[in-house]
Amino acid sequence: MLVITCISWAAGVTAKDDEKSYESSEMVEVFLSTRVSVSNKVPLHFTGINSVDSLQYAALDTLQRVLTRDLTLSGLFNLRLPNLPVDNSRKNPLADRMTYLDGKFSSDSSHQVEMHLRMPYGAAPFWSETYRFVPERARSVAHRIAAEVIRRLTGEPSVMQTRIAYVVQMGPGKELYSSTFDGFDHQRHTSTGVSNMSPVWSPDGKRIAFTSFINNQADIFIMNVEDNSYVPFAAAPGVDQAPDWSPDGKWIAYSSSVDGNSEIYVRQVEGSETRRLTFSWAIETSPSWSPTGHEIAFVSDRLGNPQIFIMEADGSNQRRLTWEGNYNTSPAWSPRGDLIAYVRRDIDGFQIFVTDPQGKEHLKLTTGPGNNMDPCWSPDGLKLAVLSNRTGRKQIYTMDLYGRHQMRISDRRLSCSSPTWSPVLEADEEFTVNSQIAKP
Amino acid sequence: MKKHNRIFIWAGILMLAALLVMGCGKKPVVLPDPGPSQAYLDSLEQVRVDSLAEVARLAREAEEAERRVREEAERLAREAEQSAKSSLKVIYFDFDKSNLNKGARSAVEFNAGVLAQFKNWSVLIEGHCDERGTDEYNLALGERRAKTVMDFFTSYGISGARLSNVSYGEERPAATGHNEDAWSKNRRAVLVVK
Repeated sequence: MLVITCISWAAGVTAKDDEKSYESSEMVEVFLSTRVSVSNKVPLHFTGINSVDSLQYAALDTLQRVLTRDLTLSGLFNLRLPNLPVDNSRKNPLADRMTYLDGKFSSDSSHQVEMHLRMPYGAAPFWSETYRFVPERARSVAHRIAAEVIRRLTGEPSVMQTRIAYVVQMGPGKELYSSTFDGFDHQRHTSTGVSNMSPVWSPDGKRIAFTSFINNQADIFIMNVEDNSYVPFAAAPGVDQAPDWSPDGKWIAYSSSVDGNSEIYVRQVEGSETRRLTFSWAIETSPSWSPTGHEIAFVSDRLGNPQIFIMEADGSNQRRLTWEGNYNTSPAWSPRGDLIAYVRRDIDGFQIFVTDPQGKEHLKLTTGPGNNMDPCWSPDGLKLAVLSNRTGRKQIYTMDLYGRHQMRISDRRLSCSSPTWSPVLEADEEFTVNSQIAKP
Repeated sequence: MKKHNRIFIWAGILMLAALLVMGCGKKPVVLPDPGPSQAYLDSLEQVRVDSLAEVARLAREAEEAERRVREEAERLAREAEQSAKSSLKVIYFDFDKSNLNKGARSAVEFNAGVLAQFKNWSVLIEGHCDERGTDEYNLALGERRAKTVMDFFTSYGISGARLSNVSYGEERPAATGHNEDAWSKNRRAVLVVK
């Protein structure tokens, strides 16, 4: 039921947004296609999963639905769905390159599904995997299948086995929650009664660094996601905030006012070395590492209002990235390294923009009414999670780089902010897998 | 002759008698001591006890009166301090600004005067922002607002040891609307006397 609601709702928003930002979407496409290698979508025909006993199973229905949705939302496929007949005639220009995904479902003591990838149609599968699972795990199995199919056919890391953490307003405080990337399995991580902010997932997926008022001032803590325990990381007098993990997970960049006013520092996660990177009278905060770990984007109001700058990871060569508008904040460097997303205060409120690391072109991905803020990237660099208050309440949405496929993942009754997208998480043993890969 | 003798005899007797009388007059007269009555002693004791009790009562009353005066003085002082505390003004800022505009300056000057008067106060200066903009930048901006106020106080002569600051960014709004009316109430620095 919730899925249907989400899809229909997302579809409505998508249509509306596409209409509004049609012109800019085209620009984005031209702009992005040179940087993101998704322009040649892989032709894939998902011919469906058949039940061997021809009975109806809720788990099978879930499996088909979630798999279809994952493959669609990935944006990586030129996709034909089970409702279309196989067309391998010569008239079909994609027939030669078409891959076929099918499955066989059976149920005895537990459910079992056997998935195949074939090319051409009817050939022996070049990949097959068998999953045994209890009905409650149908969603996880579907995500796993989608992840494997994406990995086999595109070589892309898959977001299907990722989670998104965010904070939820609970009375006077904001508590840390997370859900699957598509808005299911919501889990609560903190019960502090105070504001927790700016969560950011570690590159190994096991920890979340976040800013918290646990000590009645802004300090940085690191949480172990497995048991929700946390330890202080930076807790000097004054404001310590805005953590971001270096790509190798060994350092955290953050801002602190320990030396007077808000400056950028990097500090070892295991160890005690701390380096101060900025020296100015102004506010410096919100550092974001480049995926190489060589550069850091950050916010500074040294020119009188907040703008985005880039510097080397040692603090040298500080240069301005944003020149338009008088309020540019929240830089988020894409894991592909080719784009930096940020928030600009524009005529229709605070909106998401992207630019290249040279700052040559700046493109607007979202439009009002309502603000869109707090951008964070999916680990494949093809999607963004953002905060939007377009409904009058702050909620978390995911969208693609064209600002399309907008999908709300947080509960509509809650006020949420500060999303952070996990890396691809190790699949826990919720089901058994048996892989067979044909030798090339 | 005989007559003279008699006179002499009588004179002698008289002299003897006189001597006798004079000799006897020089001796102390010892009278039997009757002693004070028990009732008299009891009444004396009662007077002593009563007057001691009276002294104690008067002392207590004096003490009581003194305490009342002291308490009243303390109460008045407390009330004065309380009203001074509540007279402290909230300092409001412009959007994305931490400098003191005209209104903010008069508020902060007034507050400095109050702080100078109550030298025993330790004061926490809270910096706040409106909901617009990003959480992280606002946390830094709130801190700068609090520090602007703190710097003003120290330059006014308030000891820095009495002052501390904290930024809550946009986490603790005073007004919960989503319009300029609410925003203008939320961009503020608040003094909390500890």
